[in-house]
Amino acid sequence: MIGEALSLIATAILILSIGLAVVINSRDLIRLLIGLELMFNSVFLTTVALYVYQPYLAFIVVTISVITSAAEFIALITAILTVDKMRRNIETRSILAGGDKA
Amino acid sequence: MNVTDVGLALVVVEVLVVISSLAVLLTKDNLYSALYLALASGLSATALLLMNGVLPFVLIVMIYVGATITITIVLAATYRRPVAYTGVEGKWIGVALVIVVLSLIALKSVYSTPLQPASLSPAQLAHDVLSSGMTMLLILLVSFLSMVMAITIRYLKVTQS
Repeated sequence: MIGEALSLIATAILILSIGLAVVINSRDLIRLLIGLELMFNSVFLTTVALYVYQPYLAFIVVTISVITSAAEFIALITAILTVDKMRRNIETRSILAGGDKA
Repeated sequence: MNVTDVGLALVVVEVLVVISSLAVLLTKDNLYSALYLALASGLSATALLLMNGVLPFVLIVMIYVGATITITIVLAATYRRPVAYTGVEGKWIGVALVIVVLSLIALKSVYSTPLQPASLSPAQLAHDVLSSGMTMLLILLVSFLSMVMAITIRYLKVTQS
């Protein structure tokens, strides 16, 4: 069982990296949202190892993560609708830092 | 289910989660990407279920997969349009490998202890969560729900204007 916590943490880090790659390679805001949600999966995988030793703490972490992801999702869907209304597209190349148009 | 079976099931679930995550990365269509995301999230919750974590499993499946990712799928289907993709850049692989190796070295003391399914029953965990010592968690929940409501009001203003 020694390697199981190792494999869990390695898998979580790998999924975090894949989610980061999805965000970096995203061409529109929907793909960006999907990448961010994939990164939340690594948090859930990390709590698997934590749940064995501290179930109470792990449940609190999962609860806060789920609520945070819901709030992040609502903020992003608001941003997507606003960008679509202003620019008539949701591609990330039309957005720079601060939301300025290129 | 004995300890060996749990370990084998964990490895299978981890492999399936990685495959689903790679499918999210490599699929060009956002709709299918969101569907693979739902699959990966459900499998992550299954890993918690293997460790006797029934309550976190239900929380993730009902709220995260059942609400958040479902709306993501609807959003991806609504904005489904042909977008030209130039392929996946490969520079991130080297960075990811370095991060994995460094993290494994840093976390060596964490994973040196064997894992077993938690002995705490879901009923005991629910009792602990709902007991009087959870004031801070309730304050956090109310704060996050207030934030959700504030963003929802902003969302309604955007959509109605």
